[in-house]
Amino acid sequence: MTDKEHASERGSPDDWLVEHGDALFAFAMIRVCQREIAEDLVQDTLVSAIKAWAKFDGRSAVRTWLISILKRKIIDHFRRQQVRDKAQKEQEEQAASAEKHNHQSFFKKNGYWADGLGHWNQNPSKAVENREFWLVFQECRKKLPPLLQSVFVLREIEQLSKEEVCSQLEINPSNLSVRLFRARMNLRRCLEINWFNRE
Amino acid sequence: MRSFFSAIWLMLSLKCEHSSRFISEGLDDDLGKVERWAVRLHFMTCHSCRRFRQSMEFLRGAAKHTGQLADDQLESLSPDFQLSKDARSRIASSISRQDP
Repeated sequence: MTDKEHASERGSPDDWLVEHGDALFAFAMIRVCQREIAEDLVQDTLVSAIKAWAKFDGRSAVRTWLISILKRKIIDHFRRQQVRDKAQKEQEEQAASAEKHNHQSFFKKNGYWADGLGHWNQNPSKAVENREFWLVFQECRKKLPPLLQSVFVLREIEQLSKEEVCSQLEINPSNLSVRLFRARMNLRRCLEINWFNRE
Repeated sequence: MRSFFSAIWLMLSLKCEHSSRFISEGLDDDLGKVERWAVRLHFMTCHSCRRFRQSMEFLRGAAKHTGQLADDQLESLSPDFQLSKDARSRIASSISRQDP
C-alpha cells in the first residue's frame, strides 16, 4: 500500500471530527457527565491523535484508536481532579462531614437501616434501555461528588479491576473501598427515591 | 488475623451498617471467611440487607450495560449527546492549528 492510500484510509484529522466527534463526545459524556468537560476531552483527544498520527499503524479502526486515546484522557482528568491539592483536601473534608451526616441518615443509631429498602427486581440492562430510567440514572450519577464519580466510572462502567483503579488513580485500596461504598450508597438512595419508590 | 472470640463476636453481632460495607467490599474482592459467614448469618435475619445486596447487583448490571450501549441505542436514549455547533467549531479551529 502506498503512503497516499494508507493516509486516505485513515482519513484526515478534519474528517475525524466530522466522523467520530459525536461518538467521542457521547463516550465522554457517559463517563464525566458534564458537557464542558466532555468537549475539552474530545478536543484534547483529537489534538493528541494528530500528534500521534505518524505512529498509528492502522491495525485497528480509527474509531477504536481514538477511543483508546480518549480513555487515557478521561483517567488523566480524574487524576488531575483529585490532586488539586488544597481544593482536594477541602473537598475530602466536606465529603467526610457530609458523609458523617449521610451515614447517620442511612443508618439509625443502633446500626440498622434508617429507611426501608425496596425490592429491586428489574432487569438492569432492560432498565438502562428505558429512556425514563436512563435519565434518572444519569441525573443520579451526575450528582455524585467528583471523587466518588471517578471510582464508580472506572470500576463499574469501565470494569477495571480494583488493582487497576488504584494504580490509575494512584490511591490505596482502603481509600478505594471507602469511596466505592459511598458512591454505591449515594446512587442506591438516589435511585430508590427517584425510580423504584417514585409515585 | 482475628482471634476466635472476636470472629464469633463479629458473626453474632453484625449490624447493617457493617454488613453493607462487607457486601460492597465483596463486589471488589474476596471477603475473608469470617466476614463472609458473618454476612450470611446476618442475611438469615435481615431482609433489608438482602435487598441491599440485590440493589448492589442491579447497580452493577446497570453500570456495566451503560458502558456497553451501541451507538444507535445511545443516540435514542440521549439525543443531546452531540457536540454543539460552538464546541464543534472551537475544536475544529484547535485542530487546524495542529495541522502540519
